[in-house]
Amino acid sequence: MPQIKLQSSDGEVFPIDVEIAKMSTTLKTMLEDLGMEDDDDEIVPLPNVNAAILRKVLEWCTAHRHDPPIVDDPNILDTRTNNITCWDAEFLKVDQGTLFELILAANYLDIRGLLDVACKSVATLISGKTPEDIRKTFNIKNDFTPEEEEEIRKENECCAEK
Amino acid sequence: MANNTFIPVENVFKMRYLEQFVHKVVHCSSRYSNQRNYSYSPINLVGKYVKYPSYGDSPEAYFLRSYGKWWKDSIAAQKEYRPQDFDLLGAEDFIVVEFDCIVVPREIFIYEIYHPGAVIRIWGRLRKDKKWYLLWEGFPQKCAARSRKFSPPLRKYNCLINLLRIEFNQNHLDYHTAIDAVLLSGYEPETEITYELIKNGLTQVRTEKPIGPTVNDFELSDCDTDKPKCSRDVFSMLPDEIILNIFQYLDLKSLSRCAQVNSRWNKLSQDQTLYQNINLKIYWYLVDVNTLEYLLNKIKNIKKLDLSWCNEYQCDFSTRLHYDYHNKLQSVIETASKTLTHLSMNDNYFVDYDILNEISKCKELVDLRLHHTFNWIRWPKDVLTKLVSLDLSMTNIIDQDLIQILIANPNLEHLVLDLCEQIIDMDFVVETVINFNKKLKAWSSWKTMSITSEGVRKFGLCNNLEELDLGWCLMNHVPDGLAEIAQGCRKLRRLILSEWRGISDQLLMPLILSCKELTQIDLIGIKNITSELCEKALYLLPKLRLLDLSFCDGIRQEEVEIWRQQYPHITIQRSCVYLYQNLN
Repeated sequence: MPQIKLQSSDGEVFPIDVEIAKMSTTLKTMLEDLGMEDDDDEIVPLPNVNAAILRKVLEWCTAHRHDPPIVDDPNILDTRTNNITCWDAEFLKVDQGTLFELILAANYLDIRGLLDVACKSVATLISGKTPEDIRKTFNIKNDFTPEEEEEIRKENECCAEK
Repeated sequence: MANNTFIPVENVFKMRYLEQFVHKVVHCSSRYSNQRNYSYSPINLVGKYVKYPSYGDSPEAYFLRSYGKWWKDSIAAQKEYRPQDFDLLGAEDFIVVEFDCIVVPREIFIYEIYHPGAVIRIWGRLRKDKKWYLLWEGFPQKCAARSRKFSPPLRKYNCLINLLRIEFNQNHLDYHTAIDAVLLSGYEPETEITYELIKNGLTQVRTEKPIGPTVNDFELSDCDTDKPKCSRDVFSMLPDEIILNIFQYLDLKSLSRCAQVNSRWNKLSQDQTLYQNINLKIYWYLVDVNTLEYLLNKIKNIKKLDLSWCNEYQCDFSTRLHYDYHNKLQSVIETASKTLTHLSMNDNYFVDYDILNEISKCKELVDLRLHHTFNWIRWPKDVLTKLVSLDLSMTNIIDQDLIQILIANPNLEHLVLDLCEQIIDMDFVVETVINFNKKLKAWSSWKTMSITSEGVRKFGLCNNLEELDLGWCLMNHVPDGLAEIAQGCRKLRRLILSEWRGISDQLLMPLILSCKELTQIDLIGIKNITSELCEKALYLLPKLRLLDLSFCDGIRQEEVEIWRQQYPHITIQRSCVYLYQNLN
């Protein structure tokens, strides 16, 4: 099995199967464009991903290496959030900082499956919460003036319980 | 908020205790009967129970049309338009019943006399008011096969009601559920003043938890992320496109809350891509003019829209609000008309000629569901042309308009005409389908009366047909035409021939021999078939999963028992006329 080496932002080098690397559309395109597939010694630097996150990403990719490719069609996008697999749910039991860094890494490396399931996982953290709970959960600053806040609350109360 | 602050209004005022049965059925989304027939009809809910405590298949009770997964599994069934907006309790159908006297509700008894356990919610409302109070909700129940007087613990409100809405989830049931009667008990105000005080909420000493399907409350309970785990705002690290990726998994209610978090969230939560599919059905009790107004700005790119059950103003308290809501519905559909591909308005009272007119201008529509919309008769001249699925069940569609639609829609695959009692020449409808809708895969005209064996025979030319529901269609004619179906419809998977009374083994055998894909066969009430035919069906059809032999008098119960053991993967139904049951 051909391998390539990935280097994290903090300098750690990860030798991995090309097959797994190609789950990242970014790496796949790069390998194909540069014809690097047979060159074992080449090291691919990933300046946006640190070793801890890269290790997690590769763990996910290894577990999902046999997944069917994701079809990019909004009509068949599965928007339910109650169908995250046990493995993924366990995998995503991490602190918020790690979860968001995983999302950023998955986005940078263009790994659709990981990006989607991580976003879903964040959605479940938002779902059902009041605006104030959401702010608390994610440490978000409320930048509305009281007047604005009241106005926006009114605009959006049609979906709220009366 | 504390429970102990609730003071029942009857402890304060002089009130009369009342027990009353249903006076009138106002609305129902499902029925097993046609208009003129009392068997299994919703009208049987009126008045005192007649069969309870007996248990069994009694036409004197109200029956729901569907049970189990069989109807949902149909290729013609509506797929969820927005899966993240789902009802945790899975309401499938509802009835609204009215009572003579206005009371503060304290107890409700639902007399279930066949396959109980489907009731999942009970709402109460004053007919002249618009607010629905959720009196009880709970998961569907697996119950023993005996009649039951179901009386769930009601939430305490000092509210006045004379309407009850009961919601059902019958997906777990083995057969049709039946309700004999509904009893509402409570306290009636003795004076006008008491009435006004209670009506205006002046006796509402406690503000109970917000009402409504508390879908989200279930999810919240074990959430351990309420405290910030990070000292920074992690969302500020994310680009807009990722936040939108996250938001696309949120239900509508959560999105409206995100809009209130901060200015960035507010802007992103209004992105049009998040509103391509909208399902308001589960928010039916909240949807009003404001909801529709809220949507109007967000639906420039809308594809799928479910407005089923959204009947907020279907009541007599204000014609002006009724009118405003109707107009707003019209604007919503008009705004969506360029992009809309799926529209569902099942059981929506507001669908009338004007709304239909807007609908008929949505030229991209492929999926249109108008089940049980009864305030229209004629279809507009403007006709849709891209339809793949069309559900007109329980409507007043007439031959001429239906034919016009069929001719204009060559891609039609699913056609549902159950209980369309205004169609007087179904044979000609079938002929039109043969000529113009060559892709048809599913036909359902359950309990319509005008097909004859001539029409049945023509289905043999529908080579793509996978589902054929002709239940209760051919009661008064000489049944024939099955040989042609057997010859032409090799892909047939679902076949419903309930109450084809004169049919025999000989007529059915060709189907068993040639339609190898058959998974569901319904032969309810066919007296002449014998066990030989059933054995052949069970043995020769490898994909068979459901065989309904209820009221097939030619088949003995002992034989059914043996088959059930021999073929455990096949559900063999055998509904019983009546089982007297001694409750003592």
